[in-house]
Formats: sequence, structure tokens, C-alpha cells
Amino acid sequence: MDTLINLGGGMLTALDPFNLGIMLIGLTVGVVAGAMPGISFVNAMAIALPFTYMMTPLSSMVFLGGIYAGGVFGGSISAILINIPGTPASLPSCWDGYPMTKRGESSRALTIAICASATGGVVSALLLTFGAPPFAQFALTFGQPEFFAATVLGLVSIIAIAKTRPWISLLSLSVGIVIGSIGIDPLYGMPRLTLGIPGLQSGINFVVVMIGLFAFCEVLEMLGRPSHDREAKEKAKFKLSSFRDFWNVKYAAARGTGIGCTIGLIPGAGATIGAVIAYGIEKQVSPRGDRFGQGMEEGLAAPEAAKNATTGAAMIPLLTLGIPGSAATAIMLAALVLHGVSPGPLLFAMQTEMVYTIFASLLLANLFMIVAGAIVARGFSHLLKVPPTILGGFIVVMSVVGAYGVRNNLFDVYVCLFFGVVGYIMKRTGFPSAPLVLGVILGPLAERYFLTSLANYDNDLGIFFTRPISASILAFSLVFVAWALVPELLRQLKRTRRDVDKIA
Amino acid sequence: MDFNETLRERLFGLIAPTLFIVLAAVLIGFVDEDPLRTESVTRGLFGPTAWPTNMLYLVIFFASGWLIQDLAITLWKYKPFSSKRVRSPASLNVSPRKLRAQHLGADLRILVGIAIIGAYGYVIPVIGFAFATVIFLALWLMLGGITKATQIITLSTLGTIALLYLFVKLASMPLARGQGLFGEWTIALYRFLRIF
Repeated sequence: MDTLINLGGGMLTALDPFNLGIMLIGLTVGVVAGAMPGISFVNAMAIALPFTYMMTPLSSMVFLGGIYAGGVFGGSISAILINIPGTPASLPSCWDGYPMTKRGESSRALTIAICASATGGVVSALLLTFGAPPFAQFALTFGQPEFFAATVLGLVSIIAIAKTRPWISLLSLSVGIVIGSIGIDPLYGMPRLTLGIPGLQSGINFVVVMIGLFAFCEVLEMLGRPSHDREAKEKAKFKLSSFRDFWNVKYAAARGTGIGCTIGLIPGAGATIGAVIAYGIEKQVSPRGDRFGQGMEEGLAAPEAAKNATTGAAMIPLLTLGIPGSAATAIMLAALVLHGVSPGPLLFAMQTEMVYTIFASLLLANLFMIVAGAIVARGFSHLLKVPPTILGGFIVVMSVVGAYGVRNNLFDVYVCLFFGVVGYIMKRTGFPSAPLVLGVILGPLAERYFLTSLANYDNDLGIFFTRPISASILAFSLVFVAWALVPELLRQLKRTRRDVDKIA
Repeated sequence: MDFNETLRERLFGLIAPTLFIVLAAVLIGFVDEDPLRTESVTRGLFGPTAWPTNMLYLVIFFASGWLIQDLAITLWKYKPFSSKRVRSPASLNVSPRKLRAQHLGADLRILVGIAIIGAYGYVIPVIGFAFATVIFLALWLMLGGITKATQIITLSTLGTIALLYLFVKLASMPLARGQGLFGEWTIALYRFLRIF
């Protein structure tokens, strides 16, 4: 009952004209950024971060939440209309969405995609509303060792994203942690790894790293990329079709929603994994599974519902534990931290109104997405005409201002540029950047929890393994690593043996 | 995948982890900047340098794992799933020489782009955000292949004005105004645009 009353209060605040306006702007920005190949919604969130400086913490979360919800869907517009997924999570939408477009059913495909995404998003927002408070209540029993264990779980979750390249992903993660440890340490106030550079004394801010790795890197890639072909622009025509098209695939959408909500809860798993798993399961379950890939409606509805269903679920570990499981939620964490708000179980007790307004606005964003998605899909052919060069130039300026605005420090701009170049090299060489970002964000947290745990318990390392919750989370982390790595390592070992036998 | 590409991948797989190992080993020596003070504040096992030092050891460990795996690949001609790269259908229709020329052109554009962004960051405090942004946008548009002077001037000028309203007037961000005469010009520009 309390939850419903709080949600009602949150809904009223979310419907305040300013908050509603901010959310709609965010939603539109997200759908447009997601739909434009080359500008992912994560980049849009990183670029939008400086604009949140002038907002209250609540408005900034409403704004970024709008971009998040809209952006996850937006990628499907280009995936369905021109076979280019705007975001990696929209890849499964190409498999059955684009064949529908080729059959001349683009309007039906987009209607199914918009309705399925909105359904997944709304259910996920409800899960967040009713699931997060009890979890936060439970998290109130956590001490420093439990938070350390939860942070470790967040760190190892990256292996699930890139399990085919475990060494490189783990290397990227540890490099990120090292970068995060530059500057003054959290307990003794001693500088580390500053190499005598005064600007490094205050450390490397993770927002600056993210803007560099995502926004600058994308712009540099844009410079080297040819523009989209004319044929693609002509295919991008759309108008909403009958709601019955979606109603016919309601069970596929429901299954996708369930899968998305479950996957979204796992830090690091995210929308891409949710959508791919939902597509795979739907293919097994559907009586028309053998025709998937030829434009089957179920093959489009399930991943669409799943990817938006991960959005609300992914915010549960962020808001209750302060652990972002993806780049998008990491940016939301950055916005909270920049406004001096610490996410965690206490947030639910201290700032109840803010928490429930975030829930309500995510709920509304997913409902309004039907309108925003339809409008952007209609204007998509015009959007594609904007030359990437013009977009790139403005993204650079906004990124420079964003990096500068974090601490009003020009040194951060140079650091951001450095990471832009590093990010570009990483992308060119296939070195994953997501683990590095997670390391920069979670590394300092892990260090702080680790050192304060030891300081509170007489430097006894056993404290992490003797407290039941901490030990359980660490054991779960170990199981998680084994689950992600063992099958791949066995496969590699088998292949190596086979090759050695061949040579012998 | 042609021979050069395979060779490049193999070399990257051997050189990159080695570089990480060397860099991490060197950095371990720079973690502790004041050993005497560190010793005085450290109580028990873990001091302020323990975390980054151990993380650097982790870097060495994971980079060694990568190096060993790639050595195995090179020696046994074993190719893991992750190293497979498929040429895009577009690139299959283009001759290798033309493709190389295209890549070279793209790489050159990117290098010039990096230089322009670097110069932009460098001149902001000297000539101010407003003037630096106009020049940057104009250069960037030219680099991107926009040749019409009217388009370049309009986009860079109007774009900068829009950004000034957004960041200085709306967001009240203290963006650099420039030194000396540039500072005065920026203030005059802000007054002209009614930002002040």
C-alpha cells in the first residue's frame, strides 16, 4: 500500500510541467540518437550529462531516464527500416524486422516493435517500482564487506558480456581499475600514480573517461566512415498500422518481457544479451520457429519487448546498491554523484519522493514512447539526410564543454581527448572498452569498501568470507565467473588439442 | 582475411600484451610517491599503495594470459572464434588497392581530426570558447568534405551562437573567455548577443 501511495506522489511530481517536458525532450533525444546509426543513445546520454548540471538531481534523472528508455527502442527504427541496428541491442530486430520491410510491411513491423517495446518497458518499470524497495530494505543490512562483495560481483559481471575474449576483457577491466586508483587514496589521503603531474592529484573522473571513450571515439569513427546510401533513405517510410498486429503476438511479447526483466537484473548483462536470448528462446518455443529470419512477427516482438524490459530491471542494482550494470546506468550514476546524491539503500529512506518520481517517470516514458517512436519513425528519412560531419562537429564541442564542466578544469578536456584517441585505437583493434569503463567506475568504490572493511575489522581478510551475505555474494561471483568462462575455456582447449593432433 | 591482415593481428596479439606487461611493471615503481609517509600511515597489511600495486600485478597477470594464448595461436596455428573477422560485403566488391587507398584516406582524415580537436582544446583558454568554437567548427566542416563557403560560415557562426546561448546563458557555465584582447572581444560579443 505504501508503495502505491509513494508511486502516486511520484506520479504527481513526474507530471509537473517542467519534469514532464524534460522527460519528453529526453525521450525524443533518446529515440533520435538510437535511430541514427553511429550515434548510440549511450553517446547521447554522455553528451547530455553536462546539461544536467543546471537541473535538480530529480530532473536530471528524469531527463536521462527518458533518453535511456527512448534510446533502447530507437535503435530498432533503423534496424527495421534500413537493416542497420542503431544500437547493438537492436540486432535481433534486423533478423525478422527487415525482411518484413522488404515485403512492404514496414509499418506493421514498426507498430509491433513500438508496442512490444512499450509493453516490456512498462512491465519493467512496475517491477522496479515494486521490487526495488524490498530489495533496498534487505540491502540496509549490508555492511562495508557486503558492499565490497556486491561491487566485486558488479566487476566480474563484465565477463558475461565478453566471455569469448576473457583475458582481454579482464585486462581491460584491471586497466580501468588502475586508472580509477590514480590520485589521492580514499582512506589515508596519499597521492598514487600521479607521475608528478598536478592535474592527476585529484584523480581521473569517470565521466571524463566515458565522454572520451564513447563520444569522441564515435566522432573519430564517423570521420572515417562513408555516408549512408541513397536507397536506404528512400526505404525509410512509415505510418502506424492496426493495434491488432501487436495483439496477435502478445504471448511472444510477454515471454520477451519476462526474459528481459530477469536478464536486466544481472549487472553487466543488459539489453543486448536480453534481446538475443529472447530471440533464441522464442525461436525454440514458436511453432513457426523454423521460419524465423524470414520476417516472422514473433521473432520481432520477443527481442523488442526483452530489450526495453531490461531498462527498469537494470536500475534496481543501480538505485539499491549503487552498482551500475551497463554504460547507460553508469552515466545515470555519474549524474547522481555529480549532484551529491549517493545511490544505495539509504536513498529509499532519505529521498523517497525522488526515488518514486524516477519510477513514475520511467513508467510514463515507456508509455509516451509509443508517440515519440511513431513521430521519429515518420521523420526518419529526413533525419538520415543530416551529414555526419555536421553532427560530429557539434558532438565534439558539446563533449569538450561536458568534460570541462565536470570540474571546470581544462586538464579534464585533455584527459577526455586522450581517452577519445585511446578509445578509437581500442575500437580499431577490437580491445573492449566496456570493461575499462566499469573498472574506472567501480574500482574506486571497491577500493573504498575494501579498505574501510579492513580498517573496521582489524585488517582481517577473513571478514569477507565469514559474514554470510558477503561470503554468499562472493561465492555467487565465483559461480558467475565459472559459468561464463568454463564452457569457453573447454571449447578453446578442445580446439587446441585438435589442431595439435592435426599438426602431429 | 588476407595475409597482411592475419600478420597484423598476430603481431598485435604479441606486441600489445607485452607493452601492457612492461608498462605495468614500470608503473609499479611509481605507485608510492612518498615511501616514508606511506610507512608511517600504514597500519597492518594494507596501506594506500596496496590497491593500485595489486591491480598492476593483475594487469601483468591478465596480459601474460593474453600473450600466452596468442603465442599458442601463433605456434600451433590455432585460431579462436574471437579472432575471426569477416570482410564486409561492400569491401568484397572493391579492389584491394582501392580499398587500401580508401583506408589511408580515412586514417589521414582521422589523424587530422585528432589534431584539430587537440588544437581546439589548447586554444580555448587563449582565445576563448566562442572564437575557438567558430574556427573549430569551420575547420571540422571542411575536413568532413563540406566545400561551400556560405554553408561553412553559416553553420559555424550560427552553431556557435546557439551553443553560447545554451551553455553560457541557460546553463551559466563559466566557459573560458580568452586572454587579453580576446577576453575583451568575448565580453563584447556576449553583450551584443544579450548573453550578459
